[in-house]
Amino acid sequence: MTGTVRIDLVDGIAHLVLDAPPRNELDVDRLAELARIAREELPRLDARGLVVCGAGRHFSSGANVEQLEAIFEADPESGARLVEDHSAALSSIDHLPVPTVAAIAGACLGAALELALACRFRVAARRATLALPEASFGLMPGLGGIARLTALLGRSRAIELVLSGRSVGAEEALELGLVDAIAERGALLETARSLASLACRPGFEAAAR
Amino acid sequence: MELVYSAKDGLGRIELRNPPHNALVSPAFEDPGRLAAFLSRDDLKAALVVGGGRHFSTGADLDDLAARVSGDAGALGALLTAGKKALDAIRYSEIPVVAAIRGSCLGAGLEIALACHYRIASTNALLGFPEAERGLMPGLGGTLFGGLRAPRGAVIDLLLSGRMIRGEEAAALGLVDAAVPTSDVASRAEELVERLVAGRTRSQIRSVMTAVHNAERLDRDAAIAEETRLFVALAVELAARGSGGGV
Repeated sequence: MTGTVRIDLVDGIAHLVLDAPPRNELDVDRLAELARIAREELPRLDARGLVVCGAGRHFSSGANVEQLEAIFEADPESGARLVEDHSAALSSIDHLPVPTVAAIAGACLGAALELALACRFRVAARRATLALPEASFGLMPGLGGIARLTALLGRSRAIELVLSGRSVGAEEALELGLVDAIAERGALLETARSLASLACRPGFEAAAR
Repeated sequence: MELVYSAKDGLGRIELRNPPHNALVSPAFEDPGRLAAFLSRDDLKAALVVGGGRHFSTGADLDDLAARVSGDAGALGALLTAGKKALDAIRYSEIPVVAAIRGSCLGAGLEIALACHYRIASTNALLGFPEAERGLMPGLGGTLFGGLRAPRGAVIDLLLSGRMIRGEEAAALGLVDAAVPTSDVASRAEELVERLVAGRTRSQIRSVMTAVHNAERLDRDAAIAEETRLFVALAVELAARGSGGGV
């Protein structure tokens, strides 16, 4: 296996890094690692915030659709288990009692956008591209992406983005409310870290925990 | 008002018909079961709601409604409940529904349009809730604006002032998705439908719509669990088709 998903602690803020450049694809091994981190490490995390980011130019191109299809063809039950585990992993991130921020550079597609949607905030680099293209492959988002997108944008925009599968640039994403802020590429991580540090204000931290 | 159903090339069409203004004769404007049965037809991937003639619908006859209230309020309540069920058949349909709005779209007519998932209006269409001027309010759930882009303050203004707005302003507010010249309303609505469902299977559309409805009707964890189940079912179906050699 090349590349991984790892968690670093940087000055009190945890960084969940999708580290398999260039595309940081969430193949089956990395999905399993992400699920393990969510299950074993996140509950014990001593951090006041979490930033989710990709190593290098992209956030992540999402799941490996061909690999996923092959698993479902060979053994539907293990396919179902994989998807359920990953959905549970996103829910544990969603339920974390500290601010969570996705720092989105480059491509953020499919399962990766579902991961970003499980965060409280999303910051995009100016040239980021976001999409839920699953419908183009005969599928649909299935990790809570539709539920979270509908809660965020309302049903009309959620249906349109999911059924069309079209790509959205950072500016449109901001206008839609899909991301909360746009940052220059060089300032992306710092912007995300400052959002994730909201809890260091007295009172907010107490409320969050 | 009569609802006239037709279908062509996977696109359903529901025409509101009661010339000249397509006014509702009763708040219970259609049998909810009949509407739901049409929208769940296996051969449909999307549907349009249109007004016959020049107008979408001017809504209920408010004089008649006032007379009914002074008569038997219980009976009116039952009619409103039936009308709301008919709107829910549209709101929670398994296929996307687009309202193509020309001319007047008022009161219960606007409530029908708001139950649809998208609204394309002509720039000079007239939209509003005249109920306010008569001491009333929309009675079919028109005060529920969950999925709309329009800010709450703008909607409250329309509900309380009874102010009529043109399609252009409705688009700026986010009450409709686009305002286009009258002659382009139908083609623009069909373009939108094309962008949504072209190349998608019926079970994909049904699964996505159900997941979206669940997000509004269930608590978040339940909606997510159900979404994952819908995904797995779709993946299993796709894999079965894939190994059979089809697409």
